[in-house]
Amino acid sequence: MSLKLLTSEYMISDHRGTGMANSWRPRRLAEQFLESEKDGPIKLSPDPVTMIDGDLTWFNNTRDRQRVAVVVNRAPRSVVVQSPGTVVIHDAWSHQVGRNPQADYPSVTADTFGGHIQVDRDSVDRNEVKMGRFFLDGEGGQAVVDLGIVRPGESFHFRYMASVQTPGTWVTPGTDVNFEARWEAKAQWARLVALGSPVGSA
Amino acid sequence: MTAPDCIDPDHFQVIDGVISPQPWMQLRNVGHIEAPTRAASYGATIADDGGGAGVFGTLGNVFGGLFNSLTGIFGANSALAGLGVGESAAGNKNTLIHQLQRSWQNNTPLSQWCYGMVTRGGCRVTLQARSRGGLLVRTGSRTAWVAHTDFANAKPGYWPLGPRVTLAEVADIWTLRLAGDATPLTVTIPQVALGPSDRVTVKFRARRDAAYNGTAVGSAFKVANQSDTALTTAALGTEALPAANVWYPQSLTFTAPKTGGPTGVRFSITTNATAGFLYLDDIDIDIVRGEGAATDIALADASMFGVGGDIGRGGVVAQGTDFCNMQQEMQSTTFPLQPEVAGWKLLAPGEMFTARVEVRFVSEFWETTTIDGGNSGIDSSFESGGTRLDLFAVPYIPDPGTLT
Repeated sequence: MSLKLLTSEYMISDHRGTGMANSWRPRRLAEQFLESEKDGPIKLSPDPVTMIDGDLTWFNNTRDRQRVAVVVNRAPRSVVVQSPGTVVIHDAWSHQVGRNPQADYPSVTADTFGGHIQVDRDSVDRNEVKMGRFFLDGEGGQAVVDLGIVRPGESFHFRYMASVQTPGTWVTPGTDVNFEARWEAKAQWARLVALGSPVGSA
Repeated sequence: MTAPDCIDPDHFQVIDGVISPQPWMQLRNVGHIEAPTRAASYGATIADDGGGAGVFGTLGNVFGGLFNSLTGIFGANSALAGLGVGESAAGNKNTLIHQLQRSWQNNTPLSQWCYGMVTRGGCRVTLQARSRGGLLVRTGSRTAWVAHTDFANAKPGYWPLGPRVTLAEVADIWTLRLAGDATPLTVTIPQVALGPSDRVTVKFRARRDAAYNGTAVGSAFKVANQSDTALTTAALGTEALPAANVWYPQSLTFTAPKTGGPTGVRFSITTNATAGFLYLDDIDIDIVRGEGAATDIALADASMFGVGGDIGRGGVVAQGTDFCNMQQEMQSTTFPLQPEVAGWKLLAPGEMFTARVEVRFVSEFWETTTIDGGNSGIDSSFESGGTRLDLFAVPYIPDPGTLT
């Protein structure tokens, strides 16, 4: 058909005919695979130390509004904790939508994987700590983050950060104990996938 | 230009010659609800909690009917394995943290698939040795055909109007008005499909004026099957409405049997009055699908996260325990509503999908004896994480079959 029809949002009409515009299809907009740079044994880290850091952006060059969600897909993670101590991997993200979006640096939130074991009280002598070790392996999983609506000509900026921290009580065993202490953290990787779909009716 | 014949207006809209897809022709988010994280801490042992009342004062028959699944969760070696569902496990926690519910009514001319996704925020459970518990997520849903008509703004809903059936204001309230005349009058809304164990509930209020003279024999609100045989009725004669100009609330229920029940249901209002007016208002019809007489949404376990440890002493005769704290943190995750149910719910136009998510802190065992060396430094607490429920809809386009 060579007749050009007038079309409104989410449609296209050209010399090949009338059809649905790309903006009508639910689709992958952008993707990023991020690897951890700090997997393995760790030391006392009262402040979070970055393991994975990355971001994702996308510019809406369609004529139509798009509803955007970012899927944060995380690897199976594991920590090894020596008593008394805590090892946690914090996940944090932030996002902004606009003409020139610049997402804030993610601050540590309560989105955390890890554990704590303590078979001695805080006051224990470091040469008399008891042996206690907590191994935790978690399932990989995904969380969907709704970014809302990105209008034509706008972009989104999504930042992701994973960091390891050892908050709270921490006793490094002294030389008199007959075991080797182990603290480990593995964040492995994270995959960010941005999905777009048209704005429908509720 | 209006829509040409070759365009299905259920799929595309044409406004001023410009064509665009109808907004319901797409996978889309049709509603969400969320609740923020909550934190709480408990005493180290039952004695510390003041007889086991817990910070929220919940206790009692922890394993009442709602939690028959728990003995299964913890396996055959659990201390609970032999417990009846009605028995109390002293000191155990069962604290409701979040209860979210969200509905979506199919307001489009097409059938729509509907499904839900649950997103849980990062959470933490910290317990001392021998206490075992965690955060349990339970989900459920229901489908219902819903027609709530209050006739406000002169909208009749499904009720067909006619010369003797009009919308009228009485005492500043819009109502459906039936006028008496020489011949009896019946108003019927289109038949709605009915399946096994569907429960029909009708609530409305009725009022008459002084001249109204309908009788119990010929005036009623009738719920009938597909052959128009009455399943249940509410009388609308002067016996049922003894005083003029007074509202009388009425209600009707019918639950379809599991097999051999009606396949459709019709709702009609009949009056044999020869004079006066009959007014009806706030006619609420709900057909809850497949639940039988159950009055609430049934929930099933969808996800659980917790921790538990033991050190030093084991066995039933061991008393007291050493100092030990265990803690586990879990990151946020998204999973389907009702993961135990395959497929999506298909909603006919006008049908409503209602989803519910509940998050509780439940324990399987709570330490009853004192801790060696005292309670100082003991931590029994949780951080629940936020909970979010999203509903999505996808249009259902039936196979067009063979063109003829």
